[in-house]
Amino acid sequence: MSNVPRKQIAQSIAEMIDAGASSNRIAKKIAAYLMYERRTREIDALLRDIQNIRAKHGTIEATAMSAFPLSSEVKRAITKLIQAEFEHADHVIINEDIDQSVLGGVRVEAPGKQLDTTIRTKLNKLKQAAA
Amino acid sequence: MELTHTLSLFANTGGESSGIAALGIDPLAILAQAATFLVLFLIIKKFALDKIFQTLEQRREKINDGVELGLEMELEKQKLEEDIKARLHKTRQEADKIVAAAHAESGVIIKEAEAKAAQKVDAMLADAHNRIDEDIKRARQDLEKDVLALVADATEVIIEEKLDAKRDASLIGRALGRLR
Repeated sequence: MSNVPRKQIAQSIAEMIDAGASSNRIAKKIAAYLMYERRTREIDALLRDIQNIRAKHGTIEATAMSAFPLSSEVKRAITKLIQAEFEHADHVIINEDIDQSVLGGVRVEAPGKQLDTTIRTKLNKLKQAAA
Repeated sequence: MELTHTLSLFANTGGESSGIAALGIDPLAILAQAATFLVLFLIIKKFALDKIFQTLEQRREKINDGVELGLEMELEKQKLEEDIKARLHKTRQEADKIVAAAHAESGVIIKEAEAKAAQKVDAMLADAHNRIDEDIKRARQDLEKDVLALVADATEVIIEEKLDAKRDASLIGRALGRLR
């Protein structure tokens, strides 16, 4: 079992992505490595590291969770917002995640930042205030 | 002269019942009786009368002393009665003063007790008011919480039914617009 630091693995994968490797292939590599090394618990942390490294290189990958598919207008608005937050953002990639439990609004997660305008979160806050 | 006359009268009584003898009075006998009386008187005077007088005098003095003592006692008794009256009067006056003072003091004590009781009652009322206010405040807060929870639940239900993709897009657009 090797003891390669996670950040180093993330760096390698980020370079592979920047080089244009297919996401399917990269995903398989990551999965195989983590399973072999029995480090499957580190997958979230690894993905965050990869995002952080890519962000430093100008590629911002964000996840947008909403109850309905996002319109192009909304995507543009989110992209502008991300570019405003990340000065060196040359390229913004938005990954959509549909979850009807949020009811409405959108939650955008970018490296080191989060924006939550979902109705679910607002209702939860209201319920917490009521408790 | 008169003595001679008297004696001559007596001399004439021997064989005659004339003059005083006619009355049945014997001058010699009277004389003898007088002399006897005088002798008896002298003897008694010498041997008994002085003592009798002395005894009578002593008794008289005793009686006088007794009467004087009685009068003196009477006087003392009167004085004592007056003294007792005076003391009683003075004692009554002092007792009246004490009773009056006690009345006054009890009045003051009662007033103080009333004032304290009134203060206590006021404090209890204020405390009760405060508790009621706190209870009301707590009830209000509980009610607000319940209302909020109901509103949240109702909102959730309504939104699930009413919100569609178009409205959602509009909602997101407005939210993002506020951030810029």
